[in-house]
Amino acid sequence: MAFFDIPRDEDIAPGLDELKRVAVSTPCCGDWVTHAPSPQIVKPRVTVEASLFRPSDPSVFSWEARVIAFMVVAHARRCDGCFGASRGRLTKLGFAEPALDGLCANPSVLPLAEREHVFVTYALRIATNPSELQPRDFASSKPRASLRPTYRRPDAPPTLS
Amino acid sequence: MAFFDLPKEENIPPAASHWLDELKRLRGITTVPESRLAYVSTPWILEAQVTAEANLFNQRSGRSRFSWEARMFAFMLVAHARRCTGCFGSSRRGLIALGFDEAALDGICANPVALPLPEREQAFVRYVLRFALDAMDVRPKDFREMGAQGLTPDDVREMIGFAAFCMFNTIFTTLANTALHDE
Repeated sequence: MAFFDIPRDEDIAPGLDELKRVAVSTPCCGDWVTHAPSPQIVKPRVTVEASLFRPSDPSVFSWEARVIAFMVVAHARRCDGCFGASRGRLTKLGFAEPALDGLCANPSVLPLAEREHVFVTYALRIATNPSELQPRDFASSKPRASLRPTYRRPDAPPTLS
Repeated sequence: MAFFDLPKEENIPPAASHWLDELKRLRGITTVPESRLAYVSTPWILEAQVTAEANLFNQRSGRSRFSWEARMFAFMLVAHARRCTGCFGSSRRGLIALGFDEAALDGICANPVALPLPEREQAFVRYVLRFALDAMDVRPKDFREMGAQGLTPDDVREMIGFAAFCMFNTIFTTLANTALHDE
């Protein structure tokens, strides 16, 4: 017998409908539903996904780059659920399975513009080894002016590259 | 020159001010740490940080199934394993405020099996550490063992959320502190 049960509809915490709107990983299936009885889990997961993955908001990086970063982190962390969700998304974006296998084996060969390539490379390093990054790693990206943080006026729209 | 700058007061967007105020209220502090001020230009990141802290770290909700001591020990041990000096320092300060001395805490970091906690709280710390560091190596039989130790599915959900928060927080804190300093 499994430790977690799939909850009945009436046991699902409020907020899961919002998740269906924002979710990037397979919405309302598997791991999401097992946490559904707990509003303290559902709320931060929905907020974090909407705020940090930003599937519905403009980002300074492309959707392809974000989903590829998600896939290579999932691959490195051996998370089958996240890996499958990212592969499904990338397949819909037109990437072939063998090409994605090649990217997982060698993430340095990404079919992305240089700036997007840098995003994926650093997202992977940040996710897997944040304590190994040194101030010089940030300094080395300074010539790429667009990677430097900028303080926008609060009413200014997000900058798209 | 550091890569991240700390913002001047007048450059903090209202949306970020809102989340900084929420963070002060949540932690009961008057000064926001630099590791959070580093994110004021991206209020949506502050929103994610504060929402995760409020719900998963649970310091104010009164809804946690585990003691504050157990949560602080788990946070310290994950920070130690992840080499996040910011999180490690704040957890140590929290534990010292609870009456633990530095030498005892050093001993616990070196040997996390000897925790001055009841068995159920020790199980919380032990599993949070595993979930945070080796989630992919946890097997269905480990959940059966948790059940045999009296942990319910809701207990384990809280442990998973807590472990996820510790990992999430170490990334934001480690990198903000690195990017705020020059070599």
